[in-house]
Amino acid sequence: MADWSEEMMKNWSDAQQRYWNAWSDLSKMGQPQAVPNFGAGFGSGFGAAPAWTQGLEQWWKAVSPHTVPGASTDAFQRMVEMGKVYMNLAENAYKVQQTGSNGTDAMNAWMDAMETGFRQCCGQLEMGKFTAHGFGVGQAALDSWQRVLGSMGMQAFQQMGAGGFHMPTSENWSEQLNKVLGTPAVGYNRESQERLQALAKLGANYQEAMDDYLKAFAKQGIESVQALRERVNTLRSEGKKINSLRELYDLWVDVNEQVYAKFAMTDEYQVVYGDLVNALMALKQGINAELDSVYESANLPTRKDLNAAFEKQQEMRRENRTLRKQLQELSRKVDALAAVQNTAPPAAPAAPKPKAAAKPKTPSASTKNA
Amino acid sequence: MPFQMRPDEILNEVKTFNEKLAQGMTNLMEVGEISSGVTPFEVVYTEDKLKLLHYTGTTEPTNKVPMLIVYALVNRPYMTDIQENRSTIKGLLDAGQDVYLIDWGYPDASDRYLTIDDYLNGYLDNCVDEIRARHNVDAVNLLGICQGGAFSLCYSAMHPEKVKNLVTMVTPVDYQTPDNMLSHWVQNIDIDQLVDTIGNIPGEMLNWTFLNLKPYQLMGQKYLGMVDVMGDSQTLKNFMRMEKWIFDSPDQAGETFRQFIKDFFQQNKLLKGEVQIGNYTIDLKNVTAPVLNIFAEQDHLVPPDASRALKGATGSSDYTELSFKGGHIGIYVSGKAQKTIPPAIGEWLTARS
Repeated sequence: MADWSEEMMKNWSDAQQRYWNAWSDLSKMGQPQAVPNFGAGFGSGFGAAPAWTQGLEQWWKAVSPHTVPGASTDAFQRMVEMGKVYMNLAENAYKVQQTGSNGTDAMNAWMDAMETGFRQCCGQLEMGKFTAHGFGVGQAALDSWQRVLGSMGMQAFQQMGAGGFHMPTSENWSEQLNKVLGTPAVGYNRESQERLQALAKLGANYQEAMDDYLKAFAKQGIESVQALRERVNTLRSEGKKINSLRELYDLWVDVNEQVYAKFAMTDEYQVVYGDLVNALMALKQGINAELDSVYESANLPTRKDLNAAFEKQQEMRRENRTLRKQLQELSRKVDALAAVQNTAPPAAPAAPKPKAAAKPKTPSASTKNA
Repeated sequence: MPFQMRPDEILNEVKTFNEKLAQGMTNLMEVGEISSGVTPFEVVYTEDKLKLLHYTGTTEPTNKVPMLIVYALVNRPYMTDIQENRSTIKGLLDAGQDVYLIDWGYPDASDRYLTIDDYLNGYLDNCVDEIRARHNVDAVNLLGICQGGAFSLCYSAMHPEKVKNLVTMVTPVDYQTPDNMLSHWVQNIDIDQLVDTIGNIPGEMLNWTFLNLKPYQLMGQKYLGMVDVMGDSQTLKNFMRMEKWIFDSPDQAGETFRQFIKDFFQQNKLLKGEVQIGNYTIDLKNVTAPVLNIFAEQDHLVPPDASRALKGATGSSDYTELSFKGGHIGIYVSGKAQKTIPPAIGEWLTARS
């Protein structure tokens, strides 16, 4: 922990201590219905619905500023994200068990809740909340996509909904937007207005592609819940039991991977996946063009200029490579000739008729075209 | 009913999880720098961003024909030498091989126009020539891994006189087997638009694609499982090494990516004998060296059938297959792989060198 300052260490220890104390208090109380109180603002004491996900989130907020950015913290953040999914599962299981329901009711209630969540996503009613239950892998899946956006200089899109624009997604809204974008441009700024309209259209297309992608996943989520019901029924008929949350989680992952593996090989997935990437690229291309026109007007180098320079540089590299090889070959021949001369006997007064020089070898692969 | 947990049991499980997580955080912060690559080496040749590494074993190589490992461009090659007791490189050295490896480096914007021709008839060919000169041999043993295997096949078809023996590991040959998820996904992508728009392909984009092959396991279950073992510093360190490797994805030179995805994945030209690299048309029948084709039975990236397609496709009269019960990564890092794969490669090569 050499990188940590003393103050960071203290803050870190305090945050850790508060977290430990909260759980220790709970343990001492022996109150199964209690939840830990992690401090003001979250956790609500005895008898209330558990707030474990929130507790974990608050703890991470408290300790993460004291960590050193890097691979370890990235990995831990992923663990916390998955921890939240797991806590959410625990909360649901706990709440249902608290009501005194039998195992069947509890399981069905949990699966019903998941199915409802996915159906809401399908209906585009809560697309903004998709990340909450999304792929069953929490925020991680969309984080991954947001990193893709970040790597292309499209950070502005990272915080907008699920990787796209944070816009209403009703059919009516899209229709209205398309009408506005279709309005003919007039006046002095006509050209610029047309370009911006075209760019906005590309943005709307990307949003639509992202919505379709998420909806497809939501549909797969519904299928996964249905597959889980079947798996649970099979377990029941076989007299097998799920004895821990972890077993339940692993079962959920197993079922999801199976359903996903089939889904990912469908034509539907091929289309939504391709459309998402293509729509993003079309938008990015539009943004690049706009930026280039701004740079050009300021007499600054554009992407096109840089690409031309890079292409020329690569041509020169190739030329260099060819020349180096030729030089090596010549050098080798000169060395060979010198070696022959050094070992040859003294020349006779009258030289015989000279032999024809050997032809230089060409690459021997039969498929070489030139 | 299968689900039989009392509220206090649920509470207890949650408490245990949180305790492990909090304790694990402390351990994780103490992990420090994660080293990658454990076997000593010297850099014997450099060109642009490329480095040719020559590994030093504890004993003299018994096989006088040197071996060159050609890794994929999409990940870093230290997977083959990830830790002391999980190192394919070390296993090959122990098996008497004289091991070289190409580190392709991290392409930047200035490498956008690097083509497969530049990689194979430029960089790779120069490395082979360097090794031939150093050892005064006509041909070397090539070991190609994943995409590096496909490149090695192409190279062997173009320069058969420089390849003594060819080993391909988890190498796709038929890119359109029914179970090839990656291939299925890219069929609807406009690759020209992709490369024309962003030039080099960001490593993050590849990560996103690879993680989506098994999202629930790779983005979820894996991390939850890690919480259970975070108390053990060594296991934690090993986990972090793998994490580092997984997310250490170099960007891809745009023009190379364009040709690789279009010709190999979208049009399956390698198997059809239609790939054009520089002045060469790649005909696998030109591969005349003995071939050892190693694949993993549970490979989710390169399905076994994609590799098996090599059988009968080359012009070699000496073809051997080796099947490994494991996955795409396990074939380098699993304990079982350490005991079986490098010794088998060593034995096969020594018998033919």
